[in-house]
Amino acid sequence: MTPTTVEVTYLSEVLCEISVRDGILDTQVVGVPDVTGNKQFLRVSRGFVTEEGGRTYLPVGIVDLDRKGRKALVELPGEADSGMRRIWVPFDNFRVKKERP
Amino acid sequence: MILCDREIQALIEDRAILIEDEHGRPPVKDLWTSTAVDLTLQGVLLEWTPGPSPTGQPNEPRPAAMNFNVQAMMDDVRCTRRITIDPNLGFRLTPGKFVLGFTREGIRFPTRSRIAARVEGKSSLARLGIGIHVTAPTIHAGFGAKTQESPRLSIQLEIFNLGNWTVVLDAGMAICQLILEEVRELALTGYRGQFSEQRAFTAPGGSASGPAALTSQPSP
Repeated sequence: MTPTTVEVTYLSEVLCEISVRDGILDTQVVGVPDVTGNKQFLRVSRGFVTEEGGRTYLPVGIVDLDRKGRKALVELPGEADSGMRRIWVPFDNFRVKKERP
Repeated sequence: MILCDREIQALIEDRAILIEDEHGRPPVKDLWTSTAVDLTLQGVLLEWTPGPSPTGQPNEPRPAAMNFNVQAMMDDVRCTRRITIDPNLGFRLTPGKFVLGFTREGIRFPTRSRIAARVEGKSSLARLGIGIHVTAPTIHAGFGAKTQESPRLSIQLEIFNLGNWTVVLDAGMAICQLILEEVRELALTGYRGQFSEQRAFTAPGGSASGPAALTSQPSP
């Protein structure tokens, strides 16, 4: 018997950590881990990230999918401190769309 | 194609883009020129105060290093001095000095509007040796975009004095000009704001590999 895997829908929001919660001029600094574990930090306006289940997610643009590697190339809403604008993020770091019961 | 004042005002009136101060007001008439709109200086500046590293990061910023986070340093009182511009005396920018500033106006350019911009200095300040950005003038399409209700985002300025005069900066002064340009086509991929054209994808949950497909979701 072949095991079945549940399909899930991943929203275009990736896991991030809030590095500075109350930044200058109503901003926050968030760090987005990429597939290597390196965090990309950028400043966004307050209320930009979504908080769910104790985790925070940053809206991004999805550019490409590596299905075998289970990672996606995403575009950040702004340039990170490292200069990066696009990074690879594992699927598991995306916010999962909750199906309505 | 650079937009003229009439085109920019029409975009603002149609809410296709947003340029407004903290009170939700668009730039007043005397800040406009035929092909640009001046933005004004926020009353807060930041000055770097290099010292012992509070975060364990090297004292010499190294942008390519792991977990480089200069934004956190900007909000750390051990790395910066926050300056409130005196409403009467202004802020004296002495020769050679460099501070970070912000526009009083916030900006939002939804990608769907196909508008990008460049923030440029003003010749009147340039003649005194004052620059307002360091080689990073582009405001990309999608800047500050999330929802119509989300807060607008000020433009960060890198203000320096290359001249021989001490120049006094006042809050609310015209500090830079914004030149808007039309992006010819909607970009194929990239950041578009969370709700403007949200895209999601499906894949097997967990770590199992399997097919995944890009799907478009309609705007709510």
